[in-house]
Amino acid sequence: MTFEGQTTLKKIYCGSITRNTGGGVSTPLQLPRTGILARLHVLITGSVSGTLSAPNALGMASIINRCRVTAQGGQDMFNVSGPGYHYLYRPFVDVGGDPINSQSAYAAVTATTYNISMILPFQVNRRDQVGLFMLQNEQTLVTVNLDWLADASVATGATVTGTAKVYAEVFTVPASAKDWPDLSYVHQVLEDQLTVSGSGIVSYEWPRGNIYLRLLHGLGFAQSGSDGWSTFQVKRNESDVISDFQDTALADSQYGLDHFGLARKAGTFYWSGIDESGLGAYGMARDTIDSRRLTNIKSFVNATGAGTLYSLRDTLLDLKQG
Amino acid sequence: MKDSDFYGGASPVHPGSGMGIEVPAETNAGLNPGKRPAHFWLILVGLLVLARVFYEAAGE
Repeated sequence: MTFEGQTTLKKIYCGSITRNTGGGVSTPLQLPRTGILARLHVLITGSVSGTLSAPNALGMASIINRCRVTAQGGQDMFNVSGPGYHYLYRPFVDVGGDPINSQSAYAAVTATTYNISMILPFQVNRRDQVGLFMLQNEQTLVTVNLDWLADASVATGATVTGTAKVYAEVFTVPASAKDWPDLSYVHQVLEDQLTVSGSGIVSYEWPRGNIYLRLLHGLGFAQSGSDGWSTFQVKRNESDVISDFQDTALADSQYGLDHFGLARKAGTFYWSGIDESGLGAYGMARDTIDSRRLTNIKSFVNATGAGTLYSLRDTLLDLKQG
Repeated sequence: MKDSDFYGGASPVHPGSGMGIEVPAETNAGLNPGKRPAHFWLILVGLLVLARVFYEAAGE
């Protein structure tokens, strides 16, 4: 028997998270201890009202300061900002199209309703088993935690409301443990932000320890953004250049190839070890980087001015070690 | 980072004392009550034979 023959994929409603007045961290929502977690749909809607000025340059996506999915109260499996998710990660959720094109994360902040929903994948794609997480365990606690940006940071004079409804797609657990899927990797998607003080080369050292699927960068993206970078290199062990973008036009070409001809958002650029393997990257891990085998690996970005360098790390953590 | 950091103890990678929640096997038991097990008929016939024996004995 195989896993596929012994399981059913279900969509279950887990509950909702309401934004506190003024913003801040909401009460965590615990996921039910049922099934094997494949992905979460976090449906975030609400409204902005008031007489607005100085709207956040990142648009409606800025309303979520941080979205985290955490195991045992502290181990992040997902930790991204709203802008980081929508401008950088969203096109990589499955086969490369935009899965949530019917919402308003890219819209400017105005006094209206918004929809900035997210799909958070744990299973790395919809075919391969890697990244599935067992929820059906008494000792395991997984929570969804939302940190909402303060009203005044969304726009001066704004009053923001928001509700997030959380749905989980879970596989039923096969009765026999030998039919369980491969549960030996945790899919960790974590985001760093680095302040860039001015033009010039800025280096970002990739934290070692995990297997890198993708490294998504952003510098200069915004609701009306532009490329805040001119060149981008990825260098292994201080000397092995594996990715050399001397021109932002290469990033356009790469994005079109990986995303069915969709246009790249200005200010975004990336290295990928799986999208280069073709449609959906199903079953192929040819170019992933096991950072445990390296001395170091770094991104070198030539910034054109001051800004914030986003680095969103899409990785697998091998649970068999340690 | 250990698997127990994510799973809080027993994990799919190192089950140890086993995962915490029993997984009921999905079966159709109870959905087709019309079919009776074989020993039901055995017992019924046995009781009928016994009843016949007592009837015959009472008649003598």
